[in-house]
Amino acid sequence: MTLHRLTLCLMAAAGLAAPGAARAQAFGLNEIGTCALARGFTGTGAPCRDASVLYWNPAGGTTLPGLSVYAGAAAVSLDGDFTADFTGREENADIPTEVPPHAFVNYARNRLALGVGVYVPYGLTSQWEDDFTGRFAAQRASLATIYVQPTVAYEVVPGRVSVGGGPVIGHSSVELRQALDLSTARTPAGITFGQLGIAPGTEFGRASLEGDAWGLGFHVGFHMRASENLQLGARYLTEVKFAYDDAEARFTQTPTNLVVNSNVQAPFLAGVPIDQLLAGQFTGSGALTQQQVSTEIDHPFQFAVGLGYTGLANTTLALDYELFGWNAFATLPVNFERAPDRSLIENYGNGWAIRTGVEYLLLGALAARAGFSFAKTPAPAATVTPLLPDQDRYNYSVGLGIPLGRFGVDLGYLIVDTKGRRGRIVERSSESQTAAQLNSGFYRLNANVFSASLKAQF
Amino acid sequence: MTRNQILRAAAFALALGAVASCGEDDPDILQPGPGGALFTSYVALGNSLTAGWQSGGINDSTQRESYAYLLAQQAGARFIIPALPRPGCPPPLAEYLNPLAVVGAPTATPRTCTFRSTEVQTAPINDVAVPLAFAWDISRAPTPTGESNPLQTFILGGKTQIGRARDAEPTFVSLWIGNNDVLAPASVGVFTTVPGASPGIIPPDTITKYIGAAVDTLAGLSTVQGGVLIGVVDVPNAPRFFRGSALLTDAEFKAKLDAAVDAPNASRTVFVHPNCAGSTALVSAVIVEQIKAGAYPPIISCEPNPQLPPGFPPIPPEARLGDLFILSAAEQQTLSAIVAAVNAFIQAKAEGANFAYYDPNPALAALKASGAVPELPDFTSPTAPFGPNVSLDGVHPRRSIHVAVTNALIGVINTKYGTNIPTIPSPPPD
Repeated sequence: MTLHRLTLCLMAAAGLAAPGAARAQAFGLNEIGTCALARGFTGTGAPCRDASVLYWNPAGGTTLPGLSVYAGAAAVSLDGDFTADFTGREENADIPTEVPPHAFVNYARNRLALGVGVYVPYGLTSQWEDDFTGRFAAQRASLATIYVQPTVAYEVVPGRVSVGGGPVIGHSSVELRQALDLSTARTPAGITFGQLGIAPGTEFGRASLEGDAWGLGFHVGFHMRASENLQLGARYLTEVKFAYDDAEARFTQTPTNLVVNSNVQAPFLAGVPIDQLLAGQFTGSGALTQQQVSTEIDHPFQFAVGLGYTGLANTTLALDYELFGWNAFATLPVNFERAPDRSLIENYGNGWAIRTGVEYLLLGALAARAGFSFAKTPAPAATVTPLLPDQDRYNYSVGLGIPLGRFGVDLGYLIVDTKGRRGRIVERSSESQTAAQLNSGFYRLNANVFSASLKAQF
Repeated sequence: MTRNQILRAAAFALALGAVASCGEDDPDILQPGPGGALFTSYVALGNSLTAGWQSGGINDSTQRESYAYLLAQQAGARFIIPALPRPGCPPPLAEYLNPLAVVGAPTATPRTCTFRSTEVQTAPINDVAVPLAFAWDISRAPTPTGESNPLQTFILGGKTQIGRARDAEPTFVSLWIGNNDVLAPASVGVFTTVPGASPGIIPPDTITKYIGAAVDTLAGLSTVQGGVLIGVVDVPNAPRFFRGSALLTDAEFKAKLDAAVDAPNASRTVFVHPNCAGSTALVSAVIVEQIKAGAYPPIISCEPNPQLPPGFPPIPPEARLGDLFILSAAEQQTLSAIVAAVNAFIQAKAEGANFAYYDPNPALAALKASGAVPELPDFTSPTAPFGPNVSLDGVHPRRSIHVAVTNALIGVINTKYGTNIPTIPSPPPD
């Protein structure tokens, strides 16, 4: 499969890299434009005066006269750990710094605006040490979804009301590396090895899954200048389904060095090495040999409303509310060609965020920005996992917009803070299992994000 | 509000938020209770007493009545057991002298063996004791010797008790082992090795060798901060054994024996040899179960090679009258000497390892003296032949005695380590 040439150029210009894990909620990302980041991710009611408006409000392209180009990236540095109950043992995450890019081009003339944006609305990198206790859920997980959004906007009422929108063409790639837990594997008799006494967390292999998929959606926006000093806006980005049908799974065996203690039933007889019983799974036509695997991840809808107030000289105050349709993330099916299928129970609810931002023009040109947003996690208490230990987020940001003639540079810094949350390192195998039964420790997570964007206006 | 005021307010709010988030909050994790850091991870090793065996079987209900489980509860320690769902593996007896009446009958039988529970387990198990374990089993690696006890696999999952203990990174350990080493030959009254019947008497040096090695290994674990070693039970204290002479001096006791057994002979009674008069021999109640099942002739002799009355039906020599299921005075002294030697060793080992030590024998003797454990069984009681505090196999206690053991252990632990673990508020066994 190939990408459109224009998209390829934009990606090259943005220095595409895998996106990071400082996300709005769950695996959502808001690092889409440095101005918006610095203003607490506000941009629906009072869009930034750059081409990232194509994302923050697709109707806003009409507010930028001429040709606008905006491109940049955010460096996301995540820090996290898991502290186990009783022992207090702390295990640190080992997440590489990721750099999600963004690039937008918009041309507006005579009440009409055309543009295209390339951005990363959903991304995730979760990575732990190789011997992490929770490696059976995930040792490394990565999801990178890029949306390409051609957009048209039109001033329905000149200078007052605009509408806009366009299709969203998404490409998503996923990677998952995890250890295989023998206690949850089933014997030919149908019971699990755990029921035979194998302890949870007995690694007998490693799995690596990789795949990608395309998806299609739509993004629409509405923007209104209600008065001289008040703007209102709304946008809706549809849910996009990604079916990773041709993903590949690879497996390697890890020796357990366990020996059956006593006669149970053939082939589990005293003195038999368990690794000998398992070896056949990893060779020939065994269940744990290289094979196709498929999964499906629904990227949720986004609905945002916002307002902007410019009644104070040189000052913009912005307030946004956004709803995320995370309840689409109910289960994560993983269907193997030969290995037993799995269906991970997620049971996310919808999430939401409230955002505030302020921008002040110093000396009429240099923009000083600050913002705060709170994002409510959509993850239930029973779904805080090594794959995604999601929790409520408190985002604090500052930034500067530096004009350089027709060009400009935006700089921004964001702290993502959380209060931590209890979570689990074991798989949830049944809906009847409660968070109290599953959770065995505490996840901490925070991030520092540095963002920079270049702006050009012709 | 002026522009500057707004900006100052915004900056202040941001700074306030940033300060509020500065510094890590303490993690919201479960902490040990009254036992403190000492009981961050408590691991119990041993045999059926520690595993929670009762009435000839085990399930997750009896497992939760073990002293080890109760001690963990009082210390506020996480204590994950290798849960065996009801009916069990095998299911405990529900009725004395009726082997088919087990927990979960009629669908469950004495041969039923449930697999481990599927309930979620978030950490390594803490009770790694295996029923029927001898001292050498604590560290013995699995071998292709035809081991037939499935519980070794279900509990240990391919490792040894020491191996599973390591997995839990224990801060406190308890070890109660050696009981089967003396009880196994004592229960059948045969001190020579008879395949399928008796392992023979095990020299104390052998028992102490394995116990010593286990204690050294446990004390040497970097995470271990303390422990308690529990002495071996002196066999005569076990309720399973009763005075043979009582069969001649206590008519009611004899009548109940006859009623329970309902021997398949003309008199429907058990013949008690006159050599039991004044005898100090102890009789294992296992003989009663064997007679009832028709696997042993309805005769009890307190001396070997007894002279039987004329006209008595011939008895096969393998019945070993007066030997099988009988403990002579000399045999009792041998067992007591072994127990004393082993317990002296265990006590010294505990001191060397800075562990606590508890000898259960004075308390068990006191229970018999007080009548909490009847001196003589009531074979006609289907649910309490050895009293209300001992289970139907005549060896393994019910919860009430586990509570007494727990409280005694708490006493020695608190004394040794300065902890403040509360005892279980419970009346002493009646």
